[in-house]
Amino acid sequence: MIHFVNVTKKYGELKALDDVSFQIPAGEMVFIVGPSGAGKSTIMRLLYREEKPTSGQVFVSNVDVSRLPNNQTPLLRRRMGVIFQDFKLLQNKTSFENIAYPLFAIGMDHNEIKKRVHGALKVVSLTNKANDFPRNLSGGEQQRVGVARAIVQGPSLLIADEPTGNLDPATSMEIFQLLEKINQRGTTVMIATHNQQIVDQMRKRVIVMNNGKIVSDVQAGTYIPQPQ
Amino acid sequence: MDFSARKVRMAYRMLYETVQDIWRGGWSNWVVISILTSVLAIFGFVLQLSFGLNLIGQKLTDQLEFSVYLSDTVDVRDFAVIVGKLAYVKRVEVIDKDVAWDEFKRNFTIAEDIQNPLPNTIHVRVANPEYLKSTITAVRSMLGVTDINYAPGVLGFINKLKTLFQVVGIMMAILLGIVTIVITGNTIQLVIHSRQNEIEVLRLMGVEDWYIKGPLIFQGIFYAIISATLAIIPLYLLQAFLWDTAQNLIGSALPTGLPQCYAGNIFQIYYILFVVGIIVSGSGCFWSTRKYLKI
Repeated sequence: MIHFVNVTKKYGELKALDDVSFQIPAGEMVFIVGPSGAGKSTIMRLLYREEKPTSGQVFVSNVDVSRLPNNQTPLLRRRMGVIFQDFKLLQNKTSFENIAYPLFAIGMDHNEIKKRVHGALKVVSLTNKANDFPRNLSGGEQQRVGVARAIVQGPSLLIADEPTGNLDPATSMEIFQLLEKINQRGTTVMIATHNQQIVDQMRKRVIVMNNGKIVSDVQAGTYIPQPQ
Repeated sequence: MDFSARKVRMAYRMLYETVQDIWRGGWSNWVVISILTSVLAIFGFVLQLSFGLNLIGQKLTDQLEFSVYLSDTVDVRDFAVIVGKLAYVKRVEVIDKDVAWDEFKRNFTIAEDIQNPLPNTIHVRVANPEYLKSTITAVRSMLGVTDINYAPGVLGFINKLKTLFQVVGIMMAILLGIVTIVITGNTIQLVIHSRQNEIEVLRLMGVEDWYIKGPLIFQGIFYAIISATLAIIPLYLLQAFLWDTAQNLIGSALPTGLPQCYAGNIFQIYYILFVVGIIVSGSGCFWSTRKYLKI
């Protein structure tokens, strides 16, 4: 599903990623952990083509996204769901409208949109908040709307960049469990996070990064957390 | 079928987003509209002046005919037939010296022994004002012509004024066009800045570029439609006022057919303002989205 081949990303003289290679098969749930500046977010940004690698190749479903023409980027992004730390919800739109927006933008039939949005709201247990604006939702609820928006187009890949960075531990756990539930339905899930405690509990594959390099890549259940 | 239905739904959504953006813009919309209205009104005023002078010049020229005074050595009717055969001569009217003298005597008290001092005269009207001068030259060279009378000064003055307004009009149009592009461009830049976060979200959700840019361009077109409509109101009122004033002052001297032509011009001006507004406002939006909207 995802294949990084000797990827290096430089910002001027600073190496955000240094010759990084890894593979993630379809259907897997993977955590990328590491301190700030380790390169976690850069990996995410390369995946949804917000950045291009300085060298190396990034494959998503066998497509080299680093060489994808600009006009193909929206299509790539519609095939993956992205969840952000700051939720990135449109404040002047209701939960329903936020989730429906990408579907309206591709001209989907209104009845189909309603069906899909209600389905997504059901997955994130927010059917009763469809008409609420983000300002009336708690942080956890806002992130659940973000998750619903990410899955509404039925992507095969879901990537989450620090999805619980702005949430308390209990709500963070709920979000991770929600992502696990989505993974169990067959979606590949990749999460960049600081939240080592929850990563320990989830018992999934963990890629540990530091200074732009992969320092360890361990399979589910074998990750031994570093002392804090 | 599904493809076209999808396109229609997308177009509808883009218009819907445009309306929402405009609604959300509140008073900032009226700032742009008032500036654009002022610019279009000034532009329209220059156009109106240029059109008006053009029209008056045309009407005056059209009604200009020249009078040819003949010596007694030529037969006035034969002469009229020859002139009538010249190219571009539309009409020739013979004023017999005896008929004119009888008429004169009826209106004024004249001593019976005074001889008729009036010459035989013909009034000549040409079909196309462009050929007025060449026709006069041709008639002047004919035998028996003692004098020719017409009003070249008025025509020359109108033509000079017309040229001046055309030059000034074009220069102002270019200048105001640039000003309008910059103003609408900057306004759209403000809209883009205020919606930076939203635009980023749309981008990351995989919304196509044109779907993000479309409502901004439509917004510019909306500004142009409203501004052109508002700009035509003072122009119409000004025209009505000037026309009434002219009627009161020199009503009978105004060329016939002028009001109808002038009324038609207001629609022509509106059409031009509408098109110019859309071009400049749309260009401003397009320039701004290209410069500030990095997708």
